[in-house]
Amino acid sequence: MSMRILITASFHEDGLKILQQHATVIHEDWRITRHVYWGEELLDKIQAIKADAVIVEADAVTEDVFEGVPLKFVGSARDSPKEVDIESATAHSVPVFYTPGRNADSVADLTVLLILAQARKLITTDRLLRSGKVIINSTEEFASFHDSLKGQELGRSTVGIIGLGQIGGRVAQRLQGFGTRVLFYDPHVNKEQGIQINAEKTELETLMRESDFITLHTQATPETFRMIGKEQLAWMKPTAHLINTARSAIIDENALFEAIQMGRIAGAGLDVHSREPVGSDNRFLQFDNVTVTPHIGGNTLDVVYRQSMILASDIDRFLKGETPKYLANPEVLKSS
Amino acid sequence: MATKDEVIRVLEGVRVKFAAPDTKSKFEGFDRTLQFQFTDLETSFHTRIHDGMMDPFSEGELEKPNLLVTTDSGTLVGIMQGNLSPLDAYSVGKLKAKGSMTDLLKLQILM
Repeated sequence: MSMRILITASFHEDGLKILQQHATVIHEDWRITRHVYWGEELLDKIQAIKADAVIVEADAVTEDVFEGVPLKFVGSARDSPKEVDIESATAHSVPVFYTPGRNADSVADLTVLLILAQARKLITTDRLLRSGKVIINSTEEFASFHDSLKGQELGRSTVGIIGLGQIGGRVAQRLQGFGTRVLFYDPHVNKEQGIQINAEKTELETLMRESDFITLHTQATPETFRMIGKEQLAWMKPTAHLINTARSAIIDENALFEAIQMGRIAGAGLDVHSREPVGSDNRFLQFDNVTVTPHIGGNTLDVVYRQSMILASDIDRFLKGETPKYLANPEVLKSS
Repeated sequence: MATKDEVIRVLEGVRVKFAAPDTKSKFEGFDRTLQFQFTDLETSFHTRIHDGMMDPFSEGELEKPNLLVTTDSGTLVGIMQGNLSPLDAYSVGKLKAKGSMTDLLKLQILM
């Protein structure tokens, strides 16, 4: 057993056991070491421990790494291995494994939670009660307080999903349980695929105009950059909410801020932000009608288990000479 | 696309931002070279942050900058004018960065 694998990703012991059948595994979880390697720093680490392969989550595997050491493979515990220089990996014939859909269920759960939080004014209610300002001494005060917190049911609401991929599709499936009317906009998904999960295909403008909750699930690409801007926000009903658990680059955040500040829309649920990591200085925290979370969509124990098993199983297949399922650069195997 | 003069002006803006007492204090003990490489202008500018100061930017390339930001001139101008965040630019591939994660997070303060 000569191969050595450095794993800096969070990795479940079941996945480690699979890899330990093939190699010596050095597991230094970045969440425990509190260190993220970037480029040359990672190369130094790989060379120092004489690793033949690396599995990362937050670290950047740049061209320097591929040029500096002959890796057998790279694993990226990400839906899209953005931090790995795929072009360089391919040029050096290094297969890159990744984990599509690893966090789809977790993000879909959070999305529904944010929709519900907005629908039932959860944050407003909690903030009010904690403020110490709610003191009810009369029926009138009670009625006024109670009326101000009136919410809405998802069963009588319309949710518009922009991007019906792994996460958007799961959101639609979850909403079936509430009896919600679901619309979707996705040029890459046809009407019939939507029907299978009770989602109606629409144009973007129709979706923005008719939905009570609009939730974004497209990838951030040059094509989707700020696809929701001032014009699209103006199509929304004043009673509608916008949910973003995808990427902040999809929306013009300044336009969203203005729409909320001016009361042109009812509120928002935001897990992704143009400035991250998110701290207490996030500007949306000033609004009681916005639920702010610090990019925790995929932050569950289940995601760690899933990413470990997807990678370990695929690497196991690869090392046994079988065809792996999730390779970012399959041409590497075809050419070998 | 911005002109080289516009880029020089926004880089001067980075130094003005750095000089603000709140920002400066966050770079105490920080000693790094920083280089901006512009894909459309085919040129680079670099500086060094040290002893609580940021040196004036010089045109040209360092052999091994501690922090390297590769972008186009329009994107940097957009960021410095507050129309675009560095993270959003990174998300859609308009900006690439090399360096340590901690340093890159610090760099966000200046942009």
